[in-house]
Amino acid sequence: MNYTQEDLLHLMGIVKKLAKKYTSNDSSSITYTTTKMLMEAVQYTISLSLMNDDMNVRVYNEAFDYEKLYTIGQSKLQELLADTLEQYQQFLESFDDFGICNYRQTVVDGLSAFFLHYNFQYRPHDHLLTLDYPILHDDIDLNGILRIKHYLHGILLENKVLTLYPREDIIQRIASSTPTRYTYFMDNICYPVLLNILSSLLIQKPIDTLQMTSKDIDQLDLYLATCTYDQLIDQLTLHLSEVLNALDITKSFNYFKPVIGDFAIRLMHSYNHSNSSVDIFFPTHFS
Amino acid sequence: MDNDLLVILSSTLSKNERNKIEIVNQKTLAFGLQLSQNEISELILARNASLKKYQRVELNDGILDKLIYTFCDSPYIDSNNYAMTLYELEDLFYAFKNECNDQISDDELFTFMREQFDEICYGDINYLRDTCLTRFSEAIRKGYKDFIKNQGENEDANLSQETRWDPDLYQSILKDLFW
Repeated sequence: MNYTQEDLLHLMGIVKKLAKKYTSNDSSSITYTTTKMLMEAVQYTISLSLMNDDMNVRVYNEAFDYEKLYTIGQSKLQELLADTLEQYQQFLESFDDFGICNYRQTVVDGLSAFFLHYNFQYRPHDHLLTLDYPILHDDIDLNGILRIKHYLHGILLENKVLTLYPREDIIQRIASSTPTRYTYFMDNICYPVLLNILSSLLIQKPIDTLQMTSKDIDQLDLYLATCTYDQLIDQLTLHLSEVLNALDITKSFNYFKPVIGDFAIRLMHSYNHSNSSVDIFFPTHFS
Repeated sequence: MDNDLLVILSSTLSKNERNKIEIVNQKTLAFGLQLSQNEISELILARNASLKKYQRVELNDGILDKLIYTFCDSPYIDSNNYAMTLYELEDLFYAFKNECNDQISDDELFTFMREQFDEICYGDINYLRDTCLTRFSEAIRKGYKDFIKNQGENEDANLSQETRWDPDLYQSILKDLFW
């Protein structure tokens, strides 16, 4: 939401009240840096009050009553925080890090620290974490609790895909695709798993295992030799929908959708520039 | 949010502020001190310039009335240096709010400034700025918190690095010599 200078002058009234709380009424002035931080906090809180349940910003047709919007935003922020925390606590009960340090540190140590230190009153726009473990579809335009909620939502969805396979298979799949010890794996865990699933479906192979044999790869090479990029995209989209449907997360198609283009480009590029084979993506034997 | 807007906001004079200064101005008459209307305006302008210089925004009606109230009975302020001293003190106040990283309240800083101004600096603003406030702010930045307990009072004993005039020692030597 873009604010005019007139809007900002109105918001300054809320900022001043917030600043009094911030300084415990001990200081009659604050620095520009603090003012900007509090202004950002007010704008963030107001933006929450203008969001519908799908987290899309809706247009507010009436004349803005910023004080009212700020109050609504504050209660929405607290609700959001409580919901996300509850979701996180439930997730932690059955959390499996697959032995991967980066995943554990981000999800267990990092997110716990976020809930401990998140300042929803003065810095609600600051999500504090660098979120080192990459999810499949992060939204860097989001910040504050919305970013964490989106991140956690992503982790939960990816976890559903991972539940398709036994823990050992996933560890082996990761271990076979990383040159270092698998515990130091820095990429997304779901990515190679999903690549295996969709590639298997392309060659009509059952997805009960993550292992790709030499014969499977030959078949995939053959498939890539006869299809265009657009056809590949269409097929991957179709298969992704099938997988999500089977997992009962059809509504989350948009979350996984960006990986389709990525998979298609990587498969095609690999086939065209690496001896007409995509074997680099699929270790044929697990260590 | 750009700095220009913050400058405008910080220089928006509340009507209350001038009234408050004028009320305090009447009270300071008892000490033979009074600001003219021009001097009040200049003081407010100087305050705005300080806010801009130190990148701060005033939340309420400013600190000028409090500043006048704090320093009006200082023995080192008279009608000749009154306005000029106030200009310099308000500038010091904002400068050292920043230097202390906002870890000190207005009242604590006023108390410290007043006490040092009278008892250590004997009215010397330069000494207040370059020695007392500099040491105090440096200590606060390094984590010194004892001033909270005393509300900024009696800080010299903790921060002074010089041997100062000791009235007790003077009295005892005087007794030895003449009694």
